[in-house]
Amino acid sequence: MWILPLIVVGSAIALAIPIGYGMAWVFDGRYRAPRWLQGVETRLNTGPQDWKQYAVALMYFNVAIFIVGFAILALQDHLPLNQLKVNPDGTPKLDAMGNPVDTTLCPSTIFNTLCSFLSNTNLQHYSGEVHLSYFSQIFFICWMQFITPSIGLSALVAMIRGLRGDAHMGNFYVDLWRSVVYVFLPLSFVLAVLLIAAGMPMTLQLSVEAHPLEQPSLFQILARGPTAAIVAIKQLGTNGGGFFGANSCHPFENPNVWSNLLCCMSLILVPIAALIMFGRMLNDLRQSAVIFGVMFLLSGTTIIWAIWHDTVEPNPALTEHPQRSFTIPDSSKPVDSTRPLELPAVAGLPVDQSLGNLEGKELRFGTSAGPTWAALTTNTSNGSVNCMHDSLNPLAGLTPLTGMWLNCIWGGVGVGLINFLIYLIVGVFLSGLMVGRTPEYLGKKVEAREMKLAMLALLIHPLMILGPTGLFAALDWGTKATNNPGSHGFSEILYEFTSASANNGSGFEGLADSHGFNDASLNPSSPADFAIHWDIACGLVMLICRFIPIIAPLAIAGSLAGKKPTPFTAGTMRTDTATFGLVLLGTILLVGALLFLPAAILGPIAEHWGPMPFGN
Amino acid sequence: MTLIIWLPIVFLLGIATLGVMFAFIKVCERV
Repeated sequence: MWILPLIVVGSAIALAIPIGYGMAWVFDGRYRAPRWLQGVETRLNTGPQDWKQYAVALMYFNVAIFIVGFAILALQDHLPLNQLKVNPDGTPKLDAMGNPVDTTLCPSTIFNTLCSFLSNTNLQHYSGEVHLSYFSQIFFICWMQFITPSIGLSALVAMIRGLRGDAHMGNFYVDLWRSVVYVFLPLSFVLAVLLIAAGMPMTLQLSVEAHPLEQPSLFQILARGPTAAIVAIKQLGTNGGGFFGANSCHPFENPNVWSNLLCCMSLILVPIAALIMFGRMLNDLRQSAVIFGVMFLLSGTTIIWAIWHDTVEPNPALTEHPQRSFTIPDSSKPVDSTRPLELPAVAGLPVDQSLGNLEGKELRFGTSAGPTWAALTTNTSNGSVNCMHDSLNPLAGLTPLTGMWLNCIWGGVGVGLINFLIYLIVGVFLSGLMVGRTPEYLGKKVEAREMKLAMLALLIHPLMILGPTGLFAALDWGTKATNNPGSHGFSEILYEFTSASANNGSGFEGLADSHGFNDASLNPSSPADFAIHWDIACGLVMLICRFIPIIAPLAIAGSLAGKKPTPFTAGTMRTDTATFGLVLLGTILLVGALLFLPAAILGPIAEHWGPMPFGN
Repeated sequence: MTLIIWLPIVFLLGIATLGVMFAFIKVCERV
């Protein structure tokens, strides 16, 4: 049970060290580009940029890829490689009227998908093999999955250059090119080959018709496609958007224990490598070591907590709750009316919990694989899943929520460390004031301007989680979309906005938030009643919470870069010690986690204590 | 949803949100 997380984290750390050194070598420009690529790099280099020019270039690029991505998704029905319009035997698929099926997506689904992949969230209010053509998967999904983590990594590199006092922050286009060509393409190629060897499909052939052994007269249509290419960058780029709707629970997207190990390890590989790169570029690996220590402690705690509460501890709802009677307000009658509510006994049900909570888990991976992946996918901003998070025990379900609330344990590619550096700047400021020393980081004073920018970057996250959660929980938009009543239903709503804000993309998917094809009759299940509301709200949250926490830190780095370095003296507060690591931990837990304590109590903690009679 | 109405609406909504980020860059410059 515990060997799997040890192997996953241990191997990721071991591999991240040389990769991090390599990334520093690339982004410091100490490599020699191949001759056939030199011309491209020269043309891309529009000159050195300050923080504002870098941020503007980043935003213009995102606008451009928004437009291109919109065109691809909106025109899906007219573009080639559309296996959705063809039966497995090659004949055209027809609708009930005898016309070729119209595979155009619903506009709100297009908006949500576009915002989702633009922001590296990969929240999927659709099912990949059902709603997207091979063309869309390859030329929209896969392409975005290379570009968007590269954008995050570029922003981190620019911030590092600012922190170390470089004259300029580099060039966004060159950094993006280096990230795609020299980091993600080679790593993804190697991982994709290993995944193909592990049995993952990689084909442009149509779905296959299979006849089950138990009744050969029946048949199943098994979707397949260019899976390995997408899964490799899905994991490495902390994307999370799978080829199949069931993500890495699907046997084609995660065929066996070996692919599970590879994919789980690659979840955290590049975020850890980015941390090594940070220290290498600063020429001070002690700074990285302190940050690594804090992240490792938090990550280890979430993994152990998730495995313990999902696998070792039985669910108290199944062991302790006798029949109970309540009296609750009756909203269908005049004010102050009440009605009785009887909750049946669940204690004593014949449920064997000796192997832990196996509902929603892939038994072929073992009992701890689901919670391990759940912890790591939300420590980063990946969001891929190999078990149903909605099926986790309540306190185990608190783990992915906490990882996303903090949003800085490993974190997304580039942006995770950026978020951590914001907490670091806040921690430096608070601790510096407490001990009566001028707050400074890497020899630069942290003053009011940096703190205001840091607060903008930090506070947008809880604002975009708690505000929309409260709105949707109070309206039918949320309450009619939940799959479970009471506190677990609230957790579903809370999780969705948390995932959108943290740019994670996982979900408690009992929640009904998907529309799919614009022709509702073509969807395997009816579109959710309030899918459009969820699509638009989550789309806006994803965009806002992607770019504000990138732009504000760039401004901080630009501000610090322009300051005169202060000499290191005996009075300087050190930021490369274990003591400062504890300061960081306290800052993250007090500033980050406490904000969400009330929401945690209303959701997972209430569910653990429950059942409680609120909600429908 | 009627495509001819809603496709432009969602497109402009996305562009407008991204446009707000340009304004945020200005805000950060002035802080």
